[in-house]
Amino acid sequence: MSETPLLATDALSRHFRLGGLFSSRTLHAVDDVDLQIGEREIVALVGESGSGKSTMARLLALLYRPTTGKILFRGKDVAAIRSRADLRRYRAQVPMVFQDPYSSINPVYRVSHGVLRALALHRPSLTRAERMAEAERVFETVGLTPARDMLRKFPYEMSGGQRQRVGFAQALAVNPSLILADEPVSMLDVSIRAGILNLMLDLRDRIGVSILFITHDIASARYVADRIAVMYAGHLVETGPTEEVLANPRHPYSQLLVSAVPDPHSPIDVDVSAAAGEPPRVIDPAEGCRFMPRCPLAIEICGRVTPRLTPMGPDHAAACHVAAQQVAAGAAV
Amino acid sequence: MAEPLLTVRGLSVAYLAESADVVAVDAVDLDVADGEFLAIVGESGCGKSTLLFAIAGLLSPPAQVIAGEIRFRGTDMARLDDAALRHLRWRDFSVVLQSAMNALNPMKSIEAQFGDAMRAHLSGSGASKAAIHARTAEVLRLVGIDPVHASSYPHQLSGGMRQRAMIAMALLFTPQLVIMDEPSSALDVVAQRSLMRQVKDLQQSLGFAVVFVTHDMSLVRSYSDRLMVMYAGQLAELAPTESCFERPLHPYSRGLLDAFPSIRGPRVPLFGIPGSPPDLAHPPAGCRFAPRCPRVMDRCLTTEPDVFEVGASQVRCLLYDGLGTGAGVAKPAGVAS
Repeated sequence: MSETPLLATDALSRHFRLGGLFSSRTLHAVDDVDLQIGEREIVALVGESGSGKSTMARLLALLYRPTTGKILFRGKDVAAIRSRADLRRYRAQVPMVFQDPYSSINPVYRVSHGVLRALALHRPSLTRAERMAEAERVFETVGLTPARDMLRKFPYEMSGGQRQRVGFAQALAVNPSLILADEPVSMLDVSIRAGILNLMLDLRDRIGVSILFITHDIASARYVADRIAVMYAGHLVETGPTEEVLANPRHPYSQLLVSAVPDPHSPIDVDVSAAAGEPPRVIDPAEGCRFMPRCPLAIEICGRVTPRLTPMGPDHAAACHVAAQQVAAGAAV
Repeated sequence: MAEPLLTVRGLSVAYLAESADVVAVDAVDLDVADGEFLAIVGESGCGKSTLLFAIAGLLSPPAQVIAGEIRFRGTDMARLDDAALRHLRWRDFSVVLQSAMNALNPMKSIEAQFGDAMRAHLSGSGASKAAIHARTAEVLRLVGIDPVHASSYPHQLSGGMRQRAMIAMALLFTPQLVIMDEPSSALDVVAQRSLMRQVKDLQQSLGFAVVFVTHDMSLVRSYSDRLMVMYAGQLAELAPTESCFERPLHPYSRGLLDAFPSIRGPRVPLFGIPGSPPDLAHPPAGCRFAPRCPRVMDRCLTTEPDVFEVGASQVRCLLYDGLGTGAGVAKPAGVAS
């Protein structure tokens, strides 16, 4: 990417201290992540549970402060923001949509409450009538029509898919440039999942908003994302254009992930021997590749040196010693 | 053909309410043969878990079996009292519940929990300390957990291991039927795949039958023998798994299948199934899927479809009633009252 990305992280890390006051154990939830999200781009962040995907979302929303590293939004480091006004301004640019549509909306208020509150907070210049008109506009944008009636409903009167649309409407109300969507479809039935995925595509195309789509479902990621970033044990292990990464995954973990995806349209039953491995050690991890204990290709250097993201092709990079050697060998020939 | 292991006939289960009873399972017929792997799929609220709880005899008020019978090896389980049911449950059939995080007791080690189950069902030397210890190690090994974990507490195990420990517990008495309610839905894809593989291997080596409930159709494609698709409390389609994926008969099965994005092949636009399932307290007249059906005909709105046999499949859809697919063909109301 030539121009400045909308959002970029530079060696972003977040560690959590475990145990009591004198404990020195730290959990490395996110380590050294360089992630870029361009304008009008949907980036899917995929990985297994515990790989640090949600921590990434919370870091980017500034709900957690980074341990080290930078978050550059339009070139400016936002991790350094301290004033409440600046924080509010940033959060209006980068709102979040949560996983569970059943618990992320306050059940005692009508669904208009959240949207109107967001508007009052982030766009104080609007009058009451303008706020209402704006709320109707975003409800229509996310397909909750007739908007006027929908706004008057209580969450319990809505289906899971409709509630998730309310989540997106709340995010859209503040005129964002990037929406952080943390597993927005994983709690929904398959028959309505497609609707939310199409909504994300629509928002990108019509409104030009970028989306960080966090998911463990690669098939959904493929359906909406322009680029995919794969996380494993807090590290970003592979990133590239969606089709390229899925057709030609270079990191052994991405390969495992792609082969394990259940696909109703093509019955394959590959051997998933590496699947038997244990979850990675992220508490006080040693130097070296964190996938090594499960990796069928591991070589000696993997235990000593943590692999860095290495270019594998245009806009495609993977953090794997073996893949890097293959690329180097290919270039030398 | 010998009598199937499990026979369900005309089973209806309702949640009794003051205003209107909600019939969550409506006149379901189902057979499970010895050693068969049957998958039940459907959206949330389609009655799949209620059906499974009814089969396992785990319903509690306000849910109640209002009609039909459940025969397990010839015994009608719906008529058994608790004491008689206790003899069957866990020894002859066992249940693996959705969330192993909640199904295991956090205050007890794995072995202590397995011991509780064994003491409840065996007496004398069968439930001695040594016997419990030996059997625990044996079943843990079956599911690929190192027996050193027998003394672990649930929080010390990963999600996948806890789920496998639940399956090990279900195998304590080598049952003939294991009922599973979304055992893998809390796991990520890689762990999910390895768990499915393991269930299938165990089923083949130990020969028990599996009734597997899931909302994720794609998960069972390679593992189940037959697939039952439920919609709004009723059987929509029951077919050999392959044929259901290759040629889904019911428009709902077709819709479910098309709602999945694929990671192989060309990227095609998805539509899902517009609308939402009906309110079971007031089901619509005619076919329950009609309001969402892309192939709806006039008579679908008035005639409740019967279950039709098409080859090896059963399907509840008027497209297969032999009256043609043309709209406006009236059918005498012989099926719907």
